Amino acid sequence: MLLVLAGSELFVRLRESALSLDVQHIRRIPSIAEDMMRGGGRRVLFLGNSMTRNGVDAGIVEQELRARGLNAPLRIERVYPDATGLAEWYYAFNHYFVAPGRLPDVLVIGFAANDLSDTRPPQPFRLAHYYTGARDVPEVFTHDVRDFEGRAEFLLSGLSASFANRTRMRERALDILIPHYRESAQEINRAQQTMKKKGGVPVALTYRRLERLSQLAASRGVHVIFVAMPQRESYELDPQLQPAIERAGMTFIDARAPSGLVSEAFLDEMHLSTDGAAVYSHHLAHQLAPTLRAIFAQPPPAETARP
Amino acid sequence: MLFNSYVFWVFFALVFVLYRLLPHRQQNYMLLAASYFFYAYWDWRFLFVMWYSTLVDFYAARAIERVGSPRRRKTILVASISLQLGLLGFFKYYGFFSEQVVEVLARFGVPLSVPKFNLLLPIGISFYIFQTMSYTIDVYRGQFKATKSLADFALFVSFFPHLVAGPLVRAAKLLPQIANPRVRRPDDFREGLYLVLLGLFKKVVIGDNLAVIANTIFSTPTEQLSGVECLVGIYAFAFQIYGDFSGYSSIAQGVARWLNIDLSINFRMPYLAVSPSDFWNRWHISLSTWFRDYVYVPLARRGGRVTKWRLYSTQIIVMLLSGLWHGAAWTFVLWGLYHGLLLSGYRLYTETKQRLLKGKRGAGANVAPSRAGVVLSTLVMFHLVCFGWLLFRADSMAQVGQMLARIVTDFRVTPLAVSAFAMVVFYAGPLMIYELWLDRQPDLLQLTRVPWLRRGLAYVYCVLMLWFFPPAVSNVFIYFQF
Repeated sequence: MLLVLAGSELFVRLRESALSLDVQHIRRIPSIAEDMMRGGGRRVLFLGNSMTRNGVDAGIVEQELRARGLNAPLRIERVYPDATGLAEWYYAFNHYFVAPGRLPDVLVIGFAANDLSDTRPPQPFRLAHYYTGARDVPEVFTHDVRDFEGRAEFLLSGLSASFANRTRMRERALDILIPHYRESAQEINRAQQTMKKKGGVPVALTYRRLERLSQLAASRGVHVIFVAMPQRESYELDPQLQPAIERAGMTFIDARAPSGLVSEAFLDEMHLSTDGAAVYSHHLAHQLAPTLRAIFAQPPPAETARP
Repeated sequence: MLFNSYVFWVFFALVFVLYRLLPHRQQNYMLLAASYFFYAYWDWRFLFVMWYSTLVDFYAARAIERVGSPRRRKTILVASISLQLGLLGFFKYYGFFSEQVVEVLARFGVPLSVPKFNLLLPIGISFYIFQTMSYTIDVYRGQFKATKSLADFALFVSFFPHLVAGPLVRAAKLLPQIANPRVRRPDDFREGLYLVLLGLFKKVVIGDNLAVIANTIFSTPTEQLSGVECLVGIYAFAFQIYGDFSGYSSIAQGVARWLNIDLSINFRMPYLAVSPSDFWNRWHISLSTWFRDYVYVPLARRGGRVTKWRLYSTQIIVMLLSGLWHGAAWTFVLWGLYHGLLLSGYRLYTETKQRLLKGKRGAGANVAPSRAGVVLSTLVMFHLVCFGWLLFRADSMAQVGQMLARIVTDFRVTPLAVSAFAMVVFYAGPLMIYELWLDRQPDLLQLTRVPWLRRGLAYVYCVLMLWFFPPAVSNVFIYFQF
């Protein structure tokens, strides 16, 4: 039994990137961070999940910003691991970008609904395997993974790649074995969300994780912009969110309803098609331009001045 | 502290190490403390309820044994049963029955206001109260001698592997194992491992994965579902509840086995049953036999004369009570009534059939059913049980009616229906194949006796499924609510 588990561990470690495009993307994050070091100019990092992957076209954003008079040399990169939220973004930023020469000048985080509140639980197996190292364990256990089950899962995922990737492998296997699996998985997800909403007791949302991100970014001279992204069905934002972002010295942009973005521009409930991404990217650049212009009007902090 | 949680296994590892280090009496004290800790981990306040139940029956049984007069013995028994059922009724049924009374009286224009308590149901209360009651009744009947050790009795009530969801174990089986030094048998580890692994597989791989499908279908408004989707939802629930409950029982047995204690068997391939009575000999065996010994037999024999119709009506009453035991809701009552009618109807059918056959062929003319007949009976019985699960799982009687109407009128095979059915087959199919094999074996632990390669392959399959097919959401064991 142990031999079989060891064999599957070895197999996953050797072939992990073949599991999904998402894993390939995550494994490319260090090289994305290194790319940011190369060349001069101002660095803008778009960080988010699959909504950012499908919705933000870096080329269009750059073109539109230049058209709007931002002539400084720009380097725009995107990091968009699937099914992630603020906890994963915090540690991804901390793990891959908080290092000399890798820091962006501006971090643009795309989110929807309550992605930024503390109610969205982190996924211990992803945090452990992809976004943290041994030095992060005390912080993770103090702030983000506080129950015994989560901690055990975190530690196991830190040790075992096959354990950390088991849901990916399950999805991959079911996709092959079960007819219409993707369609039904989406229906099941929708039903689970509805059940959660029905059964959930309304609670006051808190933003402690967001404050931690703002402190981390501010201490490194990085300006953070939060962008509420569009979804097929419009959604409400917590009225406390914008004040919380602004109190922390960060910028909030509401891009939930860009003009010209029709329902057909979505592939599903939340992901934009290529045409939709073009419309949205123009709109986003338009909204980002004044803030970026103001930030870039300041001289960039010297790398040596950044702790 | 769920059996499928990491915290339980850390807890058990500590218990196991201490258990190995201690002598018998200290083992018992340690197990008692561990059991209380296990129970208090949910809510320490529930401990008081369990202590109440423990003390009532410990002293009632001792008093019954001390007292000579049959009348006084009976009074003590009735008092102890009333106290226990009163406790159970207060926590479990007060809200339901008071609501019904208020509603009925309101229909007759009689307004009634009853106090409402927002009571949390102590976890596993139905299990340990039934267990303690059976002990007192056994002592009253002279079938078992009352124990003099409160600590032993407290451990009998609270022994953590089976505390919150059974199996219900009789005093005659468990108390001697507690009172006497336990022997480490060579097969304990191997058989315990098999039971734990099988239980985890049933709970995590089958129960929890199929819960996602069953919950999705039962929570979707019925008008948005096709009949085939409804049917697949019921199949999913049938295997969810089986995986969940028999998985718990199996882990409980396995863990107890590692502590050198045998618990009762609770399930024996129930979906291979060929008749209602066969099903109840295979499903939740410890509860079925409890109702048989403490309710059915005394009720059927009351007044001395046992008539055929009394047997039928008693069977229906017992199953109604069994339904009510599962929960305070009309759907559970109806589920019990349905099974009572099935059992009585089947009894009537077999008796009539036997009479007719005897008339035709003479006495002793029993014809063994053909293989096709067995397969057909199994399929019919499975679907009859599934209908019962619809009553059990539905949120309301309206949902039962709507789903049934869909099943008989809407035959659309949708992508969700195909996919959900394929998942039922993927998760539960291998277990059913294994059970078909096991059903022909002389022993439920037969897999532990096959050559190591075959056993190893089965274990590897279970472990790989547990490792790579975790459920999207981990669920609490369904039977905890009872």
